[in-house]
Amino acid sequence: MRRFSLFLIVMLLLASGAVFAQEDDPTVTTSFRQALVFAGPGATYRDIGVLNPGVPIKIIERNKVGNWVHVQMYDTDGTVTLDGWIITGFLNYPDELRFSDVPVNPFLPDAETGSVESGVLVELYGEPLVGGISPTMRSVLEQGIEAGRDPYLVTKIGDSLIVSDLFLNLMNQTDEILGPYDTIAAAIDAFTVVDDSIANEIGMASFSVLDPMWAQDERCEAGETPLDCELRVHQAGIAFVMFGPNDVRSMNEERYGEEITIIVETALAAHVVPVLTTFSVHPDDELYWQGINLNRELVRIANEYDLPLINLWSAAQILPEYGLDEDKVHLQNSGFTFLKYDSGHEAWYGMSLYNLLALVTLDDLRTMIDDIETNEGAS
Amino acid sequence: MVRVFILLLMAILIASCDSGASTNGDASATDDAAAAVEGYLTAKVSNDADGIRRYLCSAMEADFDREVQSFSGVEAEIEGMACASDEGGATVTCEGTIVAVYGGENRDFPLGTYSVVEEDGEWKWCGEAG
Repeated sequence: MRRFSLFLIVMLLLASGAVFAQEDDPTVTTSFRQALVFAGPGATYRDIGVLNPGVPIKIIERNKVGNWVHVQMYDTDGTVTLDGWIITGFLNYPDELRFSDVPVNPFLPDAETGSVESGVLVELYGEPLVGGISPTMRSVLEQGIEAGRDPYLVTKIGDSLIVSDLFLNLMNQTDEILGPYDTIAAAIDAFTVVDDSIANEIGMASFSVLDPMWAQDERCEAGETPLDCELRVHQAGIAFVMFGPNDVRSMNEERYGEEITIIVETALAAHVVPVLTTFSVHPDDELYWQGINLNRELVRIANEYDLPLINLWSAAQILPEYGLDEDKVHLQNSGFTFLKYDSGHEAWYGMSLYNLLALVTLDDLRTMIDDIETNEGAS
Repeated sequence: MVRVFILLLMAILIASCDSGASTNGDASATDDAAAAVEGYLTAKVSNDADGIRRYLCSAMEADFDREVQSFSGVEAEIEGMACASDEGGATVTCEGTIVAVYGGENRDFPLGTYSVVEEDGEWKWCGEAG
């Protein structure tokens, strides 16, 4: 009887161990198309092999966003035969895959800048896809809450690239399908996006958002710029700022930098966190290098003011046509009118990718806001 | 007596002509202010730097680049523009609409009331009237 009890205990322990091992085991999946495998989470890393569709791989870890995963391929005796990173959107997503369960690689940057020949491009690749939220921005959030701003209300300041409801406003719906990206669910629940921003119009440039003639909304006061009007009317705590495609055709980088600086300083003075985004530029565009120079200005300003920066330009390099539509200016969208991340759209469409990067940024901001409110409640 | 009467009549006529000229002169001044605003708005929607420089008041010189580029992202034209000086002459009110086209979509900017100043004998546009 005693032997039987011991046997039972051992069996139970083994069984529970098996369960634990199963939970800790990396998720196994396959890709649905042939995919290049890189030495790190980005196309600037050396490509080290090819993953053919249907071949089982284990997901070991991911980058912060989740759009690149570290995978391993094994042979029959368990030997690793391929060990590298692929773009997540090429994978078949098993139902049980949740990125909150997949560890984030804390060491590898989003790009291997050593392989980039152009010193100008190194500056852009050197920025992470999604930067963190600085202590400076924590202060801005705190001041904004103190001033009565809603930290969970997000507005948009920009041109036709973000005027579409397909950018961010889809968060206001409840029909999202997130697939493995459970990491952005809390941000979608927490934030609301202004759906009638006075400072976001088609045809706007960084000049026009500072020109009172563009403030045609009846809520604006005489002589008030669209930017000032928007920041006053909606009292949002966070503003996504995106200018570029129009500006690149009419101004040099110095002037662009001056205008973006005014926009940023205006937002900060109103205790609003401005989130900047580098924009995708097609290499076939005759103004490609001008676009690069404008993006460098955005990086410089983000660093100077400790702002959150989304490096859409870098993230979109791997996408077909750099994530751009046929006009090579606007972001291509999937055609779905809800957030859909269960079928790899972030690897194909610029708008899906931008929304993902924005939601990861918002989740960082949400964590900080929650912490501020927790500390306020405790004090 | 008849000669005196004719002379008097001629004097009255000449005087009335003078008076008319004077009245027309005032109207011309106000028309100049309205014309300057029309010239400015026309220059602005066509990103015409020379035109904007001609009609922009000195107090707004710092905004020159912004004024030139403000509509550079769109194809814009003004429909039905008619401006007139307001009483007192410090403002000009315009009827009409700037129609901006971008990507096949129209955006209307109804014209409004603008401040004007006279500098070195020339009327200048000086921003939206508060």
